[in-house]
Amino acid sequence: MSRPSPIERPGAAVDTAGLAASLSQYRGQRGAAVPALEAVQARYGYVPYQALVVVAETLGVLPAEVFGVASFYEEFRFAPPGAHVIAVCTGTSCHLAGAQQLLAALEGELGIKTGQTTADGQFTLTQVSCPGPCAIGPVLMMDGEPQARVTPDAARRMLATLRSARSAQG
Amino acid sequence: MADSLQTMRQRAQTVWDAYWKGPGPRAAINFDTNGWAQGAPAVQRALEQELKRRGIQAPVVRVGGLGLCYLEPLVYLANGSQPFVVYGPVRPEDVPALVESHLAKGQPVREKALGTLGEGSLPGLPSIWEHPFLKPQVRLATRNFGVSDPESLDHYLARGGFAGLERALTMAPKAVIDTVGAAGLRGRGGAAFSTAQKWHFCANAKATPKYVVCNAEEGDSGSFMDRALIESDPFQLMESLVIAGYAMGCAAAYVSIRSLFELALRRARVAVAQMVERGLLGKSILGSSFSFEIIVQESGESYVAGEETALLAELEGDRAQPRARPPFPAQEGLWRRPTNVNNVKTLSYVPAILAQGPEAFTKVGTEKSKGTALVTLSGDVNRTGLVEVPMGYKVRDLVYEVGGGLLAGRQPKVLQMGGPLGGFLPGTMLDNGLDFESLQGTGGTLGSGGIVVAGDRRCVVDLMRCIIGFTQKESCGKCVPCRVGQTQLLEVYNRIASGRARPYELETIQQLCGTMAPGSLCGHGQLTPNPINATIRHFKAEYDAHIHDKQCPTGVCAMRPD
Ligand SMILES: Cc1cc2nc3c(=O)[nH]c(=O)nc-3n(C[C@H](O)[C@H](O)[C@H](O)COP(=O)(O)O)c2cc1C
Repeated sequence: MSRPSPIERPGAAVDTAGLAASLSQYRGQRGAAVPALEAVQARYGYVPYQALVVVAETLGVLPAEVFGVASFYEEFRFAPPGAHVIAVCTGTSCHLAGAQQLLAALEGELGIKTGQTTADGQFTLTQVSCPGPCAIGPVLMMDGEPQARVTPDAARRMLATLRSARSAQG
Repeated sequence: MADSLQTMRQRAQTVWDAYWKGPGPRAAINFDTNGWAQGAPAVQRALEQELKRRGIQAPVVRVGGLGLCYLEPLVYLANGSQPFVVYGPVRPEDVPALVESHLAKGQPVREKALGTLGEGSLPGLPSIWEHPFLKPQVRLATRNFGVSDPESLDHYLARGGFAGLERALTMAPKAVIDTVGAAGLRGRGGAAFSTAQKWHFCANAKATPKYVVCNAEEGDSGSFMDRALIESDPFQLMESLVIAGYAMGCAAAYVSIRSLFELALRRARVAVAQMVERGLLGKSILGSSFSFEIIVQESGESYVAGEETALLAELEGDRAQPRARPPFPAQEGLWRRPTNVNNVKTLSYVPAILAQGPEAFTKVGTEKSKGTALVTLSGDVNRTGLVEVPMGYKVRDLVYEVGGGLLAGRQPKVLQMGGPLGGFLPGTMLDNGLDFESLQGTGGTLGSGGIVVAGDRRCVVDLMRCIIGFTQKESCGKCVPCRVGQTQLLEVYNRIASGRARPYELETIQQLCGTMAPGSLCGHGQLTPNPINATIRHFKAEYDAHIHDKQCPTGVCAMRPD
């Protein structure tokens, strides 16, 4: 699968000093690459190139090494995601419970393919395997919160709620 | 100077009794990932609001999961010194009526009650342990599940916690390993290797410091017991790691948990922090000369990261890609130091083996597979969840007694077992026992314990395609046989399921498997052929229909390019 290069795109400005301070517990610890990257992604929603450099300096390794680790995992993003990230589980149990129908419904409703972000920057649709509630699929992660037994209709209602919350805001 | 265990236990008993026995109104909610995903946070808010509105002084205790995933979220309510009544599934809008009837009027709501939990009984309500899903179970590793607050060291102590560690510290380290050996404990991470033997290898290695690593990656789809063991009883795992560390002479333990498993990560960290605070971790544990620390580290989402050498690579800050063995981790593991890697389930049996002696473990199970099988049941059955049954328990009983049979009265076609590298047990072979031996040669396997039941309207080719889609995506790319082989396999399955099969696809599959099995660097590529071979062996006619007649007998596969 091709990956975007870690070239800075419009996104969060990286407060290098603040980020470095928040990562201080990992100073000099090469083994903490994944935890440091998780912290970066939790902070910015993706891994901005400047943040990757801060991680490298903190751990005491080259930025290329940190990128080597980050690009190994599908979960690390190098471009800003949508305001909401929806990840559908496609493991065996969820597959039987209708994960493909759920993905198709979300793709149809959002007008994008899995892996893409809507043009208005509101929704990113991805896949995940497996967040764990296998006994009560199909499962999706909505902005990091697990939701079980999500039928295509329930997913459409969920999107409608989020959209109307947004238009109410503004 | 930290308090003695004796003092801690006395205090813990008071905390426990107030929750378990009252007197006074009490409330609890099952809060594990399964409860969370089904609305537990909203139910807890509703419960707290309702209690406050009525001026009922009862903190809502968050307990782990009973394993009854399909009925969650559960709410427990109790009056006076009565046992809890377990209600489920509970929606936020059910809460006011439950509280009004049960706590304000003292009348349990029978229609929503699943049973009682705790000491004593209530007229007309069975004990929750009589529930058909729970009745056949023997709870060794899951004894605290859904009973105690997983974030409370006091609850764990009051339930007999740390007796195993206390005992171990009075023994010579080698004697601790021999006790685990006498229990016949075998690895639950997939390979079923003798745990004591592994511990001896590491204990006998000369270099220092040594490490023990707990593998909590749990990437197998359809498996969630490792997560559950951490979410519902993290202290048991941590106690086990201290015992393991003492037995092998390790300086520290690493627990590697995916960042995706948010609740497990949080509870693991809470447990470690409380143990440090009470002197159960750190320098001179419980006044002994043994010092030990536990580091809980987030890992990334990668299936191969669960392979032990890949896990060690990740902990060292490299990509989670496997390394060639030998040297084995027991000689050269984390930072080239002797390291023992164990699965969460394996470790979770250890405290009780030390506390109660090996007999408590060996009296359950079969001749060669001791103890229990800890499995997760999902797919086309009526009752889904987490199950702990004696090794050797019949697969048929798991499906029908525990699982309540198939949805809509369908027939079982096949059971997908032990994750994507595991196997397939045809529905005609359910009289085999769930253990390491009985399933050999059937195409099924216990593996890490994930069991997904597929009914007769499911297509085996479609299931296999889903699995290869996963193993292909998760191939780490380090060795060619796996990297290229997985992609080729996926293309073959895509062709078969979309009506574009060439007549010789089965030969192509056999050739690819014949290269991957012996040629891959780790179990990922080596074992991918397992489920494929099982499906071809038992369901060749179904493959033939797809390949030669361009038809999917169950109508699941689209049979046109997608
Ligand atoms: C691709 C692959 C993935 C694995 N994933 C896991 C896993 O998620 N959890 C686990 O405990 N073992 C996993 N294993 C097995 C480990 O390599 C190792 O055998 C196990 O952790 C040893 O623990 P045990 O002796 O307690 O069973 C995996 C193996 C392979 C080849």
